[in-house]
Amino acid sequence: MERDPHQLIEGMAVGAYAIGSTEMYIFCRGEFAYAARQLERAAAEAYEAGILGKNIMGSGYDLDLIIHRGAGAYICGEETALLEAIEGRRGQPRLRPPFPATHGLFSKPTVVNNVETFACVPHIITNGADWFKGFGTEKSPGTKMFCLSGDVERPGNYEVPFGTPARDLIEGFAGGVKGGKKLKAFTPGGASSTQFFGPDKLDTNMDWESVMAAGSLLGTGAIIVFAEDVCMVRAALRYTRFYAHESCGKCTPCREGTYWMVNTLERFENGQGREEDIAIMNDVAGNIIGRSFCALGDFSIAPVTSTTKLFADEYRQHIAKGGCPFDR
Amino acid sequence: MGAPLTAEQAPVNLTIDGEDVSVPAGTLIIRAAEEMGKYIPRFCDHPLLDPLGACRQCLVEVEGQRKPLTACTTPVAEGMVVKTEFTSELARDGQEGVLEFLLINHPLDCPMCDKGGECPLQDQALAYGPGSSRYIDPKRRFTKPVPISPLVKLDRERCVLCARCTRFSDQIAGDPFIELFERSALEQVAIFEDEPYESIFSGNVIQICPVGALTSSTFRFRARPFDMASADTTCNRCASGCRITVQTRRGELVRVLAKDDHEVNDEWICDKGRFAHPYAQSPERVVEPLVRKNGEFVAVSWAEAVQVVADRITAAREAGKGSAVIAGQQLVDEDAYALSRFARTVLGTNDVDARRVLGGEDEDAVLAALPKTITAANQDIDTAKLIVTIGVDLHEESPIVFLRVRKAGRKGVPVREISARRSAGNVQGARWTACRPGEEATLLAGVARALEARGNSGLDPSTRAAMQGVDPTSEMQELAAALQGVHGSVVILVGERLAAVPGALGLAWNITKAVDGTFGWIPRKAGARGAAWAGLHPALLPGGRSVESTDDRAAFGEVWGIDPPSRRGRDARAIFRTAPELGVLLLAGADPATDFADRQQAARGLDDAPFVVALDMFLTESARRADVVLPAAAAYERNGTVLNWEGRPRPVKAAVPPAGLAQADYEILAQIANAAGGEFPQTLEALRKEIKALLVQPAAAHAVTVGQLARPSADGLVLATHRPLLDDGTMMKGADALAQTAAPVVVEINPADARGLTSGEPVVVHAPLGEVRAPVLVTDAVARGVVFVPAHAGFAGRAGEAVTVEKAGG
Ligand code: SF4
Ligand code: SF4
Ligand code: FES
Repeated sequence: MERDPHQLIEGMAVGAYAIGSTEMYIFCRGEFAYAARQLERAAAEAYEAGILGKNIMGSGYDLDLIIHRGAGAYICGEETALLEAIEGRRGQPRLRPPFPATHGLFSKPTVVNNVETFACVPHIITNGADWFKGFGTEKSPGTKMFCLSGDVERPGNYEVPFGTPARDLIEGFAGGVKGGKKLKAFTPGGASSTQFFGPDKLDTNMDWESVMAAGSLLGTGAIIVFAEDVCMVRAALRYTRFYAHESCGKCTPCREGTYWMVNTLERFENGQGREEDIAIMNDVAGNIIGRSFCALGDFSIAPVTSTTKLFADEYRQHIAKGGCPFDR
Repeated sequence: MGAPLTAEQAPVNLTIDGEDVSVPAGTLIIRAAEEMGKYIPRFCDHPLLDPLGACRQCLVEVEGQRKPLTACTTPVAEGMVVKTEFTSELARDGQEGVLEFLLINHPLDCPMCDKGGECPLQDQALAYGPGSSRYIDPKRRFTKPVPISPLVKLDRERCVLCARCTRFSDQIAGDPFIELFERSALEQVAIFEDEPYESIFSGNVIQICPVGALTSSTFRFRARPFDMASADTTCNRCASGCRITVQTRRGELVRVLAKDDHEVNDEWICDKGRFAHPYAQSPERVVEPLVRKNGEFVAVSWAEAVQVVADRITAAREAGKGSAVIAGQQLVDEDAYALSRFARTVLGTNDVDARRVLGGEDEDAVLAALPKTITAANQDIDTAKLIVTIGVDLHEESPIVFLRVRKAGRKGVPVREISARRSAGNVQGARWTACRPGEEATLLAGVARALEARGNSGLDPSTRAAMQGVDPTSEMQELAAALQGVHGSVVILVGERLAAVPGALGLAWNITKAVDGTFGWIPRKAGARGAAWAGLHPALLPGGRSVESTDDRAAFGEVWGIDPPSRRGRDARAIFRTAPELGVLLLAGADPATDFADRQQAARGLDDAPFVVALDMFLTESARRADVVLPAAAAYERNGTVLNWEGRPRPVKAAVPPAGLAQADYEILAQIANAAGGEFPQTLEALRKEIKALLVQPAAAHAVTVGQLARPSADGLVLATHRPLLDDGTMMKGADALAQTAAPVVVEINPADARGLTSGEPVVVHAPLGEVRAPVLVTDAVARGVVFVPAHAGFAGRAGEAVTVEKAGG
């Protein structure tokens, strides 16, 4: 969106043409002001060049693009909440069915896809599907953007074929753990990875099926790396706070459950955690997953369930020390 | 019934907790369970609101599904196997988890919460919750309570964020200014900073709030549910006829709730019906019979007061002087009937009138036809393909009928409003045809003509005669096309003020018949249809019978023992004009000095009449002028029946005993009749027996005689006026918080007529009989050439009169 917005616009235009749609929207999260400006500029250029607008390149086909800036709610990444927000309402997920494919934006059939998906389209059209399938694995064909962040030497976005081992990404592209420290954990698919991975999973191939076989989800492909001296309780707290803050408020389990987990994690950090809190938090998590309205709630539990499973001893150290053992 | 089932209605078979059940396709699991008498716990679900699935309390297990599903959003499917908390560990676990979540942030307010004792959260926690909480961290705190209107207070700590209140306001009432704000655990119900929450339906959000988050400023801390007595009765504040539950604590009226009746008011009532009850226990009530002695009212015994009245009646009879009756339109049917019978058999007169505005011969014909004709019902609104309202602002004049029409509009049914001022009610798909007061008859005549031109051959000769010489405008053409297009599925709802425009009511009636539609008469007052049935009219006897018809009169010989007088009586205007010659002038629940179209004439008549008896609850402008005032019971204090606008009998039941020595009107009349030496039914049962004997079976409509059409209105500005729902009437007494929600009096004028006036500046409106000063509102919701002044502005103007508006000096 920032560096090469045209491939996104082109991909969307191809998609729109394929389904006979005459209107496209890019919903850009409010915080991404630079990306939104880039997109607006690119859209203007496309109109200028006659690639968007009335009678595109003399084809008789009209197509419009609207860049819609959100107001900064994570939930608007949920497709129906995104549609609600474009329609001018509160960003909260809708009841499905009906699905967007039949009753989407303004009750019209709507295709909703990720930026990454559309950005692949021009390349596939140009080079053919077989070329694209030549990358990756059989079940996860093509390439994937991995976003490496956290304690690495060279954080950034790296596009590699599906199936590239995590080790190549972390130790190779990203230059390894910062300051030569040891790796404590990493997320294979962002904060919503159902399970964080320890160093033993470094050789997992990063494709849908391998990550799932290793017990987690590839999700967004955001690999967040934690070095040996990171407090995983604090990490869980930061993530859970994020989910609690971003919970749209609509359904009870997500709204109240994340609030509860945050309060408990804060107590651990302040030295007032209790042994039974570990079980209670997992129970709370169990009451959120599968019972909340949308996936935000379902994924919000991962930091707690992952860290209490992999790093239960860190929680106990907090109890024993009466505070955070990583505080220097 | 006989019609084949559509796919939508085809039954679907499933099991719930192992029991078979068959329900129409599309039914939600929660409703299917209700069919079987199983109550799945819920907070956000409400059968009249769109499903939301937010609270997650209603989780059930559906075989083949990994996760528990919300019963309130999941439709049934053939062969589905559903397990509720009674048979499924998963469901029970899910529900308990949700309940625990709802409680972590819920304050421990029960001992001081109005909802305590009738709170689903409390019940749920008691039934399923653990004794103590695993949650030990601080709860979310908010300032509380905050007023969101003069009537409603919000406690955000107690709110479970079920969005019932916000969905009600959006989906049912169409008053959007209450919403959910913020997100996460900070999500909260709120109103906008710059837009007040104004709704005449606000009390319903209090009633459907599943917890004590919304409470009413009038009921807060007054009583516990188990400490109150309840009576189910019918609201008498308008002709909608809502079922209500009136609750009392030790004889004190404390709360009115909507009672479910899906054929009439669904589960809603308006704020007037809910909050305007304090009048009944106002210290200003007349609670003893009063007789004027040496110019002053003196409290006397019933025996004395009755004798005084009876003696005057006997004396008048002996002197050959006529007597007359002016009735109100809030009487219950039995009282209206007793009054009509009293006039005919005890006073021996047809000089009886309950109307405040007098119409032409077409009004007589329509009033005579109402008891004998099948007229519109709520279900006709539900199934209509087109709804037309003429001369009625349903939102203000019959709020629950408004909600029904709004419901139809929300389904996509076109709604056409013909009026001088566009209703403030927010109906999706409504179109307004502006019509100056007085021109309705011409407009309808044009529509009739256009209908005939489109090949409609159902118009009767009197309509065809009336429409001659009217050239249909394009607007009339278009209305005719719409009517003809939905032939057979149109509902035409007309307000009582249409009667003041000679020919209009009759044309509306005949056009409805010609397009095979159903006609609904929406009077302003609860007792109007009953008064019409009872013959509180100079030309009509009970059942729409004519005083002038020998055949019609014959029905009474057997029931009353005497023949009613056969000459058409004088109407209210003539009664007031000839007041000095009257023997006795009887007022029953009527205050013509306040609300008769020409109230100055009414007041003069009352002053000039030699002897006036008033049956009333208050010393109104009229009762003040009487010689004897007899205390009448309020609607909450008596039993009876009222016919609502549909003509549907609605039971009225006493919730409290009458104030002081007050009695029901029929009881008072019976005692006077006895003392004046006549036979008279003494009990409700006896009255009902007579009414039953006089009932007429309603049949399909016959055309009525339209008669002479009203002359078109004068050039220049004409007055439009009607009462808003919340006025300053006697029956608003004591309802202070409710009164604060009433719109201030303003003079409304179209921008095209404003000539330099700007909204907010004070103006004076001059009418032939008086003037009024108020701020002006320049708005296109008023037709061009029209000045709208609400009828309670303290002003004697009549609709259709020429008026002028100018800046108020000084
Ligand atoms: S105030 Fe009451 S009705 Fe409104 S959302 Fe809260 S709990 Fe529900
Ligand atoms: S709509 Fe009419 S009948 Fe219903 S509650 Fe209001 S005033 Fe009473
Ligand atoms: S009642 Fe079903 S989710 Fe609230």
